[in-house]
Amino acid sequence: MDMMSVLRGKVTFITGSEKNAGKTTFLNYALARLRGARPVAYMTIGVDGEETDLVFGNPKPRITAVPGDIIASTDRLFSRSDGEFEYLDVFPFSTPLGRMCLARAMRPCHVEIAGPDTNDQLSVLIAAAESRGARTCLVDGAVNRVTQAASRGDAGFVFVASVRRQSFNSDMDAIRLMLDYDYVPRYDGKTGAFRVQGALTEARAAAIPKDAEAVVLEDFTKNFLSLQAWTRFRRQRRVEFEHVVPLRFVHAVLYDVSAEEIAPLVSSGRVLPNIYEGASV
Amino acid sequence: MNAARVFCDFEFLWERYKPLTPYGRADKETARFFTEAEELDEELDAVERFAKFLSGGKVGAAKLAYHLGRIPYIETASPARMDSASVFAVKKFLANAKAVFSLLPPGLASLCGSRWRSGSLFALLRKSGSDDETFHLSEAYSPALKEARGKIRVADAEIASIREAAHRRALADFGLDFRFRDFIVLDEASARKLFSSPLFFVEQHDSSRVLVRPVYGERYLEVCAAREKLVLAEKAAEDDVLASITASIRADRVAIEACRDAIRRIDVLRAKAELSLEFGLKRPRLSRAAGAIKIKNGRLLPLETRLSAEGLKYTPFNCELPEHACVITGSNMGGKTVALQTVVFLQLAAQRGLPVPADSFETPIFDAIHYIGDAGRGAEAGLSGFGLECKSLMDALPDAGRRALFVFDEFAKTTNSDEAGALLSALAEKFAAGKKARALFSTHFSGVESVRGLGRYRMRGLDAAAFSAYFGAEAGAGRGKETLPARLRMINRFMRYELLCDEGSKGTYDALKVARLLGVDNALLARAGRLLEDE
Repeated sequence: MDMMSVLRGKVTFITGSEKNAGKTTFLNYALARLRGARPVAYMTIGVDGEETDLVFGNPKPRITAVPGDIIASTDRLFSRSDGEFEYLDVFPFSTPLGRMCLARAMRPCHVEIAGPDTNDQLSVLIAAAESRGARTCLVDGAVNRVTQAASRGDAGFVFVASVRRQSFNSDMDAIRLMLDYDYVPRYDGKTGAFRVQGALTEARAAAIPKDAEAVVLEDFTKNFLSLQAWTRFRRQRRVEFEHVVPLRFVHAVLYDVSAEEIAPLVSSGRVLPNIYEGASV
Repeated sequence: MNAARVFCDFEFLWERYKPLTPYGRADKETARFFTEAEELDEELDAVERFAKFLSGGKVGAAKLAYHLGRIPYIETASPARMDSASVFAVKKFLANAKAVFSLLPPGLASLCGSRWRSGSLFALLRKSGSDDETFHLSEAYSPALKEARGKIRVADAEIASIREAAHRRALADFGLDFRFRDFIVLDEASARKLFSSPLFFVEQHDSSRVLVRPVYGERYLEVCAAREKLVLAEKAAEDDVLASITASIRADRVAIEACRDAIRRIDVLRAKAELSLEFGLKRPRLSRAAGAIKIKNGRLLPLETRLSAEGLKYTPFNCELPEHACVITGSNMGGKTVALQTVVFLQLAAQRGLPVPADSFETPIFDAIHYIGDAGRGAEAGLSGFGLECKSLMDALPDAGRRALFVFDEFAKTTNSDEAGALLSALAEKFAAGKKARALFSTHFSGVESVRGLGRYRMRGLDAAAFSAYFGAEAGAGRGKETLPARLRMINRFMRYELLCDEGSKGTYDALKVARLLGVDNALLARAGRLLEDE
């Protein structure tokens, strides 16, 4: 099955395991694969698309737009682009990089994207893009923002994870955790559940009353337990999340790690290894 | 005024008043309190006419709301050169304003000052974009822009062609598919033969793999460099076009501002009319003359809604208060405070230019409304409840010589009854003798002195016959075990929320009966009753 096809016709947040995990590169790949009869839309929560990473100053891949793409960014960033745009909407909210706008690309170009800070504003952008015909919408976003923003409607997320030789075990654990979170049910509001305020740590887990019928976390980002501790905890307790966001799949970016080494995860059908990997020449 | 708003929960109504444009919302924020009879009349007349228009056709009303909801905020003091996003906003504004104007019948259009005078500017802006709500700085605006864009298109076509040729060759000769990828990661050993190929750029990815990108050649770089220059020329041409469009917008500034003002007016009136239809509000009659405050079937909407949700009956409020000072007494839980809240609620609504929830409401216009009581007040350093009341009084009293409405809810209830009665008497005397200000007092103190010009009223209180019938012969199993909501329903059932002239009755507060309804021990109440009789 072509995993990319599960993104078609849906709103999908693209999150990463770390800064420079490869989210923008994945976004470019996904856009190239998903463009078709209907326009695709893309946007971000916060600022993205600059040539260098704002935090670390590393060079960053640019977002490549083609005619028909619907893009949410700011007036200043659209003006800075080498593209030609038709403005579809201008919104009454701004970012430090200017007023939020929605525009359609009229020719191939490179764009920088910046997004709003609040989930409500993001919802407005998505609705505006949908009203302009976009059915597939990709949102670049930090994982801790996505859980709330994406808990709307049928949104889901792709987790872009680096797997490196020197941190192989912990990187694999991070992916396994992400796959396991997808099986945690949504909290249905039943009484008798113990709500964990903030992060679930070893100390907090130990302090949860034995007679609690279920343990409720706000979302998966609030789990601070290791995979092993989490698995043990899940065997002992019924865990539920207040915000549940379906995982579309994990994209594993491999460094000094072969696809065979992550084969057990790939066979789950939920992990897509290095999309940039080519066959031998 | 804030305290009065909180006292009667005016926000219940105000938050349901929803203008749809940024201008209407800004107007709402000002929370204008009309104090001129003529302006208020104009406003209420206009709201009435709008309500008639809205109720005349759902389609027209829905279209009006749709277009108002799409009006963006625009800067009228535009900079020397607007950007495309700002021009877009002007175009979207004009498109929707034009649609709004076209939906109004001539009478309403003229009432709101909606005259479409931006036809030429709109035609200029319509030269671009796929519809009236998009904006594209198109080539139709400038030959220079057309020329630059034409050349960019040629460059883009050549760039695409070079890339496609390189991708085809990479796929055919090396099995490398770059259609969806900017680079491909390959095992280093397997990619060794690419190292010396001029077709690929190879760099290390990790210790055993390399990252391969296609090299598109000299011509590609030349075209890209030329394209960069063309984009600069395009930007310069765009700047010229934007400067010219900005000049046209500035030239039309007066018309745009008039259009904006009309839109704000339409939006405000539509939202008020919508609210009026939603709650069945009626036009109040306000006058500068110091007439009576008359309410027929006035409804305190927040209370009515809450009671309805709890399955309790709500009794609309009626009154006619001609005096400059009125004291309202009555049973505990008999509706004294609600009576004052209803007056304030209606007065605030009316002077915000809204119809009111009453069959009729006649009232003078006030310059201010002062509430003196403890509802909704937080603690203030060093002040007790009585201290806070005194502070409110001191803040408000300078207005006692003006057209102001003073509302005293259970003033001084926390101090001893003799002194409280004396204080209330002094205040009542002061306002009763005044010519402009009005004061309404609710109190359970019976010692307020009668002075000339003071109106005395009481809430009717418990229906003694119904109460006795219920607690007398029919008293049966299960009585006394009701839940609090059930007890509140009982009070609601037996209490008569009517305002009567107090003809000097001694005053019964039904405290023992209310206590009984609330479930206080019967033996204790019987003893209290005997003590009362002994006195």
